Amino acid sequence: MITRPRRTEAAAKPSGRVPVDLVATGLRVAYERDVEILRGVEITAAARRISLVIGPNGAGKSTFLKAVAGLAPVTGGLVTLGGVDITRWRPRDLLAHGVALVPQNGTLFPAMTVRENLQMGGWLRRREKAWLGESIEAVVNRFNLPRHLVDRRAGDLSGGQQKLVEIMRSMIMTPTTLLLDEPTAGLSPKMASQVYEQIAALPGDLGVTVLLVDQNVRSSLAISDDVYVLAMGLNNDRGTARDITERLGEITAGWLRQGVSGAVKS
Amino acid sequence: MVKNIIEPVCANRRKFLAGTALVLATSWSGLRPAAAEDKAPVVLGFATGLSGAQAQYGRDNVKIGELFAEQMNSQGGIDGRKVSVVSGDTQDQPDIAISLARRLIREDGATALFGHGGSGLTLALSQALKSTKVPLLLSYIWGNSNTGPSLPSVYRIGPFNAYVATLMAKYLKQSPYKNIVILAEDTAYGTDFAKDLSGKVDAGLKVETIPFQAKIQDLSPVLGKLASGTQPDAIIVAGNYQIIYSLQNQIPAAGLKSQIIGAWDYPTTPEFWETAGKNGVGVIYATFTGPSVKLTATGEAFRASYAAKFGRDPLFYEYFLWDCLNALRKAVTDSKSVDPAVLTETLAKVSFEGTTGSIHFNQEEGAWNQALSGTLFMKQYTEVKQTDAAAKVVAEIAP
Amino acid sequence: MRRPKSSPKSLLDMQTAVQTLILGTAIGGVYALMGVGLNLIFGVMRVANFAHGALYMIGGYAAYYLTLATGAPMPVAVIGAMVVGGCVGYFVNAILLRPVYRSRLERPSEFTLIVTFALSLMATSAAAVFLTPNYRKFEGMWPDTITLFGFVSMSGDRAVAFVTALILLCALLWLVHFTDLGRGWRALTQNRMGADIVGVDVFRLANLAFATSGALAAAAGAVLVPLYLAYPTMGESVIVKSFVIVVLGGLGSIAGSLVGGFLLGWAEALGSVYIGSGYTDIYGLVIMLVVLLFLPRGLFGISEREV
Ligand SMILES: Nc1ncnc2c1ncn2[C@@H]1O[C@H](COP(=O)(O)OP(=O)(O)OP(=O)(O)O)[C@@H](O)[C@H]1O
Ligand SMILES: [Mg+2]
Repeated sequence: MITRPRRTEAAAKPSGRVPVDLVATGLRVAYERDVEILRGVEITAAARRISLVIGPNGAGKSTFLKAVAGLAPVTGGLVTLGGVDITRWRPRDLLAHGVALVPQNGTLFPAMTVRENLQMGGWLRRREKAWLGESIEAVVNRFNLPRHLVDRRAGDLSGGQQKLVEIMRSMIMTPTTLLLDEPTAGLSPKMASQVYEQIAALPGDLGVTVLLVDQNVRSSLAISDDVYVLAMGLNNDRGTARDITERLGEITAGWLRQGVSGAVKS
Repeated sequence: MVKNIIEPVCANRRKFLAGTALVLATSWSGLRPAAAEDKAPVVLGFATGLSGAQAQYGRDNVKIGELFAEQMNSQGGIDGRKVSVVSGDTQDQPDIAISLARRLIREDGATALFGHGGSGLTLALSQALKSTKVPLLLSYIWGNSNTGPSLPSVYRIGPFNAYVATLMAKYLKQSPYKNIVILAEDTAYGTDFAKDLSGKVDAGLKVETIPFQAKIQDLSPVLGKLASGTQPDAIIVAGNYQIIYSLQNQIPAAGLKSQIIGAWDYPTTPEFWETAGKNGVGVIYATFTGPSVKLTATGEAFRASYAAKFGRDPLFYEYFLWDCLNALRKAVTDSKSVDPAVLTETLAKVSFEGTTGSIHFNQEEGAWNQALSGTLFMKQYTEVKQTDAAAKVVAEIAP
Repeated sequence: MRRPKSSPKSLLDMQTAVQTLILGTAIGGVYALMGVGLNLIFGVMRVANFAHGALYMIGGYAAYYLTLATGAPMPVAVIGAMVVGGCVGYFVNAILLRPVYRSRLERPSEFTLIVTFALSLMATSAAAVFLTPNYRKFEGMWPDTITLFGFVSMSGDRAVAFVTALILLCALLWLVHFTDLGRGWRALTQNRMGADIVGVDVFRLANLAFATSGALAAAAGAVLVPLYLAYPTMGESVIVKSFVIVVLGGLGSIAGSLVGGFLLGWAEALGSVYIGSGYTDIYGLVIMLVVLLFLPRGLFGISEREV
C-alpha cells in the first residue's frame, strides 16, 4: 500500500531509521514535450545493498538518478521508498527522508571553503553545531583529506579533490539511501580505489542503501550486488554482479552496435 | 474651397452658373434641417502628461477644458455646436504623445489640441501633426522654437523663453547682482532660456551657465565646487523637475550664500513650502501675476467659476489656457467651421477680449503666431508659507 | 566662506578635489545600499528585480506618511519604511512569483522580469493616482548645514543618510557572512543545484532575500526623502543606477556591489565637477563599460556555474 506522509525535517534524524527498498516502476522522463529520455525504467535499489546502473553515454543513467532525486521532470511512473510514494518530491523533502544525491557535475560552492561546503551538507540539522563539527572531523579523517585543504576555497581545488569533497559532503547529509553518479570520474586510481572502499563499506557500517551509476564498470562491479543495464531510456539487461561480470564483453559490444543516442522521439 | 472643386468642371460661364446654383442648392438644403446637435461638434483634445512628474498640471488642464465645455454647452454650444473634451496621457514620452494625439484626432475627432508638457515633447508633437493642420494651442510652454512660420497650426498665448529672458535681463540690469550663475536643465526650455538670457544681459554682468540633466536628484558636487570658487551673487534656477524643489536646500547646504532666483514661478506651486521649508524664505521668482494685473470681465468670470470648481484662484498660466480655449471659440464662430485648415487660417486673424486684455496673434520674426502679453513681476518671499499674493514685489518689468 | 583669503590656488584645488570625493562617498553609500539589495536577489534567484526602484519609492512614501500621520521621529519612520518595504518584497515573491518555485516554468527569469517590470509600472502609476504626483518631503533629523575639516559643506541629513546606509550595509554583510541564512543565500548564489541537493529551501530563502532587499531599498528611499523628496517616479533613476552597480561589481557579489556603489558615487561626483555637469548619468555607464572591457564578470564576479 502506498501512503503519503507529511514531509518533515524531523525524519532526517537517524533515530528510528529502518533500511528500506527504493523502487522505480515504469519511470518516464521528458525534458521537452514529445522527447522522452526515460521510457519506463524499472529499477529496485534493495535495502542495504549496492545496486549499480551501467549503460552507454546518453542512455539516461544520470537522468534516472535526477528523476528519483526530484531534479528531473517525471512524466509517468512511480518511485517508492519503503512503500511510500516519493515521486516528484522536492530534493529537500527527499533528504528529510534520507535520500541524498551526488550528481555527476560539480555541485560544490566554489567561493566557500571546504569546511563551509561540508557544513552545508548538514543544512537540515544546522542548529546542531556540535554534532556538525564532529561529523566534519570524522568525515575528514575517514577520507584522509589533507588537512591544509580544509580551509581552502573549494573552487581552488583540483577536479578530483572537488569530487572527493562532494562525496564527503554527502556523508554529512547522513543518508539512508545514497544516489551516486560517477563518484570516481576524474579521480586518480589510488583515490578512486579509496572511494570504492568507502562506498563498499556503507551498507555494512552505516546501513546505507546505495544506488550507483558508473562508467568505471570493472571497479564498480567489484563492489556491487545487483546490476541494471540501461540503453536508450529502457531496461536492457539485469542480473547479479557476478552474472553481469561474466557477460560484460557481450553487453558492451551491444552498446557499440546500438549507438549512443539516448533520446527517442515518441 | 468650393471654388477649387468647381473650377476644372466649368468650361464656360453657363456651366459655372449652373454649377454654382447646384452647389448652393445642395448646401442650403443640407443646412436647413441642421439643428445644433447635427453640426459637427467642437472637440477639445488634451494630450498631456497625466502620470509623470507633471501630472497635476496635466489633470488641472483637462478639468479647465471640462469647465469651458460645460459653460459653452449651457449657452447652446459654440456656433450651435456641442463642445466636448477628450484627453489622454503622454507619459511624458514623445512617441506616446504623438500616437495619442493622432488617435485623439482620428478616432475622437479632436478639433484642436491644447498643449502642456515639455518643450521638446511638444515640438516633436507639432512636427508630427503638421500635415493634419489641426490647431495646437499652447498656453504654458516656453521653448522659443515651439512656434514659428514652419509650424503654421501652432499658436501660443503667454510668455516664452526669449520674451521672459528679455524682461529678466532688464531686471538683472537694475538688480545688485554682478556675478550670476544659471543652473539650466538640458531640455529645450532650460537650454534656450540660458542662451537667451546670457545673450541679453549687459556686458558688465558676469553670467555662467551650468547645465544639468533634467531628472537628476543631486547637484551637490557641482554646487560644492561653485562654493569653493568665487561665490556667485545669484543663482537662477531654470528647470522643471524634482531637483528645482530640492535646490532651495541643496544650494545653502553646499555652503553657497547666493540669492536663489526662480526663472519661473515654481515657488507658487503647492509643494514649494513643503519641500523648501524655511529655506524658501528669501527666494525670488519670476511670475506674470502681480497687483497691477487687472482682470477683464472675461478674466473675472473665469476666476469666479474656477474658484467655485477648484476651491482656489487660477494659477497665472491657467488664465492663458482659458484664453486659448476662447481663441478656438472665436475662430469657430468667425469661420463657422471646424475644418482644421480653416481654423488654422482664422486663428491668425482672431481678436477678442482675453482674461487680462485684448488678444490677437502676432506674425513677426521671433514671435510667430504669438500673443504677446504680460508684465514680468519679480517677487520675493519674506516669510515662511507666504502666498504668491503676499510675496513682496521686488521689481515690475513692463515689456 | 570662512577660508582665509591668502589660500594659494593649489590648496583650493586640493580642497575642491577632497570635497568632491567626500560628497561622492556620501552619495555612493546609499547607491551601494540599493546595489547590494538588487544583487542579493540576483544572486539568490538569478533574476533581475525591476521592482527594486518601486520598493525604494514605497519606502520613501511609507516614511513620509508615517511622519505625517504619527509625527514619529525619523529613525522610527525609517524602521517603519523598512518593515513596509520588507513585507512588500516578501509578498511580491511569495505570491506573485510563486509559480517560479511551484511549477516547472519554461523560462523563470523571463517570467520574473515581466512580473516585476509590470509591478513597477503599476506601483508608479498607483502612486501618481492615489498619492498625487506632488513632491513630498518631511524634515530630516539634522537639517542644518555641517562643515567637515573646515571646508567641506554638506547637509546634516546627508551625513545621516550615509551613516544609516553604512550601518545597514554592515548589518547585511554580517547577515550574509555569519549567519545560517546568509550561508544558504551564498550557497544558492554559488551553485543552485548544490543548494538543492543539500536541502536548502529555495522558496523560503528567496522570500527572505526579497524581504531583506525590499527593506534595504525602502530604507534608502526613506533616508533620502529629506534630500531628494518623495514622488511617484523617484524609483526610475535609482533602478538604472542599481543595475549599473550590480554589473560593475559583478553579478551575485555583495562585496562587489558595495565597491560598485562607491565607485558610481565617485564617478558621478568627479565627472560632473571635472568633466561636465550636464552628463552625470553617463559617467557611471562609462566606468561600467570600461570595467566590463577588462573584467567581463565585473570587479568581483564569481565564476558562474550553470546547473
Ligand atoms: N536538462 C536536460 N534537458 C534536455 N535534455 C537532457 C537534459 N539532460 C539530459 N538530457 C538528455 O537526456 C539524454 C540522457 O542524458 P543522461 O545525462 O541521463 O545520460 P547518461 O546516461 O548519464 O550519459 P553519460 O554516461 O554520458 O553521463 C541525453 O540525450 C541528453 O542529451
Ligand atoms: Mg551521466
